[in-house]
Amino acid sequence: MRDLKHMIFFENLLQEANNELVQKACSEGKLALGYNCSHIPEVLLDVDGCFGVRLRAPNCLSPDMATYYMTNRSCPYSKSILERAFEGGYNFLDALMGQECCSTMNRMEQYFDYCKLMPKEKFFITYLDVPLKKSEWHMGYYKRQIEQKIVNPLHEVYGVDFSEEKLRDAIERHNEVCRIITEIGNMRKLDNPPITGYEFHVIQLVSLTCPKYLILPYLRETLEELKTRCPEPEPWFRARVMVAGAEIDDPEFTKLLESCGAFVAADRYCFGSMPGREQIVIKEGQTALEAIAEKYHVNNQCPRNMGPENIIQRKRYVYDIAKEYKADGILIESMKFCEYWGYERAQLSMWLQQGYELPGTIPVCQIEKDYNNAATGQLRTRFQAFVESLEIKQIQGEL
Amino acid sequence: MWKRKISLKEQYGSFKHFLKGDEPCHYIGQRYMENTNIYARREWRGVEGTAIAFTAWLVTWGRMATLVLRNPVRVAKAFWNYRWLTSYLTVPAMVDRWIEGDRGEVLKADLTCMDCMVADSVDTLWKELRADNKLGKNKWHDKTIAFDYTLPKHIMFGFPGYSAINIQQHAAFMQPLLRKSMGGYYLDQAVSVGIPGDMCTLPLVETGVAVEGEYCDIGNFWLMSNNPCDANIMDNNAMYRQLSNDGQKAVHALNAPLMFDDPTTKELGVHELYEAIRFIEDQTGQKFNWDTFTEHLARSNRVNEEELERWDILATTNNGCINPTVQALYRIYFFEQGGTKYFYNSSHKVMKYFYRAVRKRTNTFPNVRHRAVAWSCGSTYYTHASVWLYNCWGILCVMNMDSLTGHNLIDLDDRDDMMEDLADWYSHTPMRTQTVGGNRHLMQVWETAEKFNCDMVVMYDDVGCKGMAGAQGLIEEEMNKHRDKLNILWMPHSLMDPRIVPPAEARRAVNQYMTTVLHEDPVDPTLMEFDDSLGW
Repeated sequence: MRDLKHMIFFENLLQEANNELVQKACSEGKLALGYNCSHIPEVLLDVDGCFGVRLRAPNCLSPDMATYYMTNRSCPYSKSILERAFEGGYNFLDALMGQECCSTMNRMEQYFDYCKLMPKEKFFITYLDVPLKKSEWHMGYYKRQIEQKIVNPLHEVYGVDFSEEKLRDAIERHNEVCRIITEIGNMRKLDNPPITGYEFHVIQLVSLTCPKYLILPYLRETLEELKTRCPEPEPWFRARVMVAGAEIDDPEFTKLLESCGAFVAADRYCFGSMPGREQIVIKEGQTALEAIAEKYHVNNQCPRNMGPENIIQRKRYVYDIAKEYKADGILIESMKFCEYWGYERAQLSMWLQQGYELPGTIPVCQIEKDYNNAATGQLRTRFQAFVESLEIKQIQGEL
Repeated sequence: MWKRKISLKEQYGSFKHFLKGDEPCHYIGQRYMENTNIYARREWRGVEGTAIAFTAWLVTWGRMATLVLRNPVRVAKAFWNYRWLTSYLTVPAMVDRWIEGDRGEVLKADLTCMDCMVADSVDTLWKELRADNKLGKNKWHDKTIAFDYTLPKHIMFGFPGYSAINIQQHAAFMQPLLRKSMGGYYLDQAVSVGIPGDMCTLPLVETGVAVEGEYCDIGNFWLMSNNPCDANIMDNNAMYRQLSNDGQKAVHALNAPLMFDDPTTKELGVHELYEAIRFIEDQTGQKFNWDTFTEHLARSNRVNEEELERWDILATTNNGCINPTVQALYRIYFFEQGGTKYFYNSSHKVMKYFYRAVRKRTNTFPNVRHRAVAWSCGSTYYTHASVWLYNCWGILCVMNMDSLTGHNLIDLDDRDDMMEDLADWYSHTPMRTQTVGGNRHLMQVWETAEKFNCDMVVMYDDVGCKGMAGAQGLIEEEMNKHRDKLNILWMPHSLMDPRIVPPAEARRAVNQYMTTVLHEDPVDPTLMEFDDSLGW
């Protein structure tokens, strides 16, 4: 396939958190608001005068300082973010929207404060207490949390305007990003898609890490380009897989998987588009903030959510997505030392293979990985074996 | 054949001292059978002390016998079905380990606490086995409420007629306390289904019991919890199929706020309690009884009042008469079981020993060289590490982190206040109060050390704890700021699995610190180096 016009530009944007578009927005006087977790309502950070940046630490190979603070037994994602903060990679931030969802991430965020890593005078960190259930009441609680921990402090410290009008404006912009990403993502359902999983991963990542208003023109153009892009004459892959799991913000991971003959048809992982890129619908009688709370609370599929309805529902979600995107198998990934995904990986894998509470079964491969794309030789072997096993199943008509 | 290494003359000096058992050094290590920490001979504590300890030992056996005699066939079936139950045969040895070196009022108080825990456990175990469908169906099954063991029992007291069983308490948590190798067995079962072995070992053991299908099938529903940490959230999720009989039982998650001292989260804690009560009402068809519930809270309040008084004595005098291991476990056990008749009565009795020691100004721990606060979660397979610290090095852990949980007194006059206070109890659980919800909770160690007049911090280093691992640098840096007032030593462990950090390695770390940093000689040289790898 012909290269996408903006692909190299996108790839360059992913080389550092403080990328070209972030710098441009900062120079225009916009407030840079960092966050680390899918429980933080991204759209709220993109109201007029602000922009949200989901923090990444590209090319962080040796988080030495962070290891001193967090030992070598902690989540490498959190440590890499902390290391990058020590290196000054997030000095552009005006505030960090944290949460007490995962202890390690929470500890990491507190080091921003403890070690006084951020140079800006008015920089502050706030922590959300995110509920673990999804009832109407819990959604209200979540809304009150984002009000008290995001809306109020940003208004008090920086005078950010969170009026209904501004929120609706942010939602509109956000929805456009979601519409474009979803439309591009839907192309992966085709038997011979005009986009690779790697390209989609890059596009999704730039939408999370760049100011929306600056990245939107490029996304619009890319969508139009993809609509007319000619795919390979024959599908280039040997099997279609879905990737599910924890943080994967390194597109090289997807590239590695695809270099083994798999096409990543669906991405249900932190930093992925599912869930996350669904549009926000403001129902009748609802305020914009209520709609935002509903979307981020109800759609979230984090394994920390408790109760049978959530335990079952998130397995079902993975299964349904896999079927919708015609995945032959699912690669379930967990970040080393991630307690949530360490358990969920084992349980999800078992349920999918046994078809427990699901309409059917689906082949699964489990891996545990570091934050950066290390141990590629071992992973490559696992991926190749998985792709081969899927091919054999296809030949034997088991899929 | 066991042989005395230290002569009686050398140990006691005179016959009078022998009769009183007040030797300057207990030489405890010489009593161990080779490669174990199991006594070859019972500890001589003087005539009175030995008689008291031996009587208590017989009482413990007696209590265990009553469990069997209630229904020998059912209990035999249980032994056949549940590997973990066999660990309970070592209870008398566990009691002996926990009271090593105890004398006088300390011995009496500790045995009172131990007897309370044994009696409560026998009662709970019996109610659990009685209701277990796997051992035969009967009416008790429906009259039992199963819940995650990190949830305190309190709200269950609003359902008189129902037995509340913290389901992982005896099948999982207690295992390494009784027999250290048992944790490793169940941990391996969890790892065998694909869960990474580098997680906290406690939830892994809980999950391992589920993988083996060794939880009793009790009650028609169960309550899961997010206490105390991320790993427990996930082990509850992982055990869903086993504990719900593949979805046949109703399951409810009772969650406590994570940032529990943040005023904006109060409403969540209270809401969760009301929701859980409503769930149990729906399941049992029985209305919540506020009278029995309030009565129970009043009893729990009294135990807490007495506990606070004991802490005062421990903090300000050298007359506190409860050893650190018993103190920690008695406190945790109370927290989980609530103010049952066993705790209500025993707490009162223990207070009498405290008052007597204060009145007589008895120096209850004569070998103290350092007063310490033990921080972070302690090991389960080496629960008696704090007894060893005192006997070997004279380090008395007057307070430990997990004891400082749920000790606020509940306001019983106003229902809203009562539920708010109770929500505080539910969020201030052991292994959680100081390790979740912000670094400031962890940093309470310094003020605690000051309050309890300590000159040392024993920092337990659980290699599997992600919450503590994340705070390692913070602790190190804060330690440096307090080194002028406090000696700080790290004691590594791996919570439930002694294969990762054997007790001997934990002791070695302490020995090194005490000899190379503080240049001290041990109080009891026989406890310095010994191999207990084959012991319980």
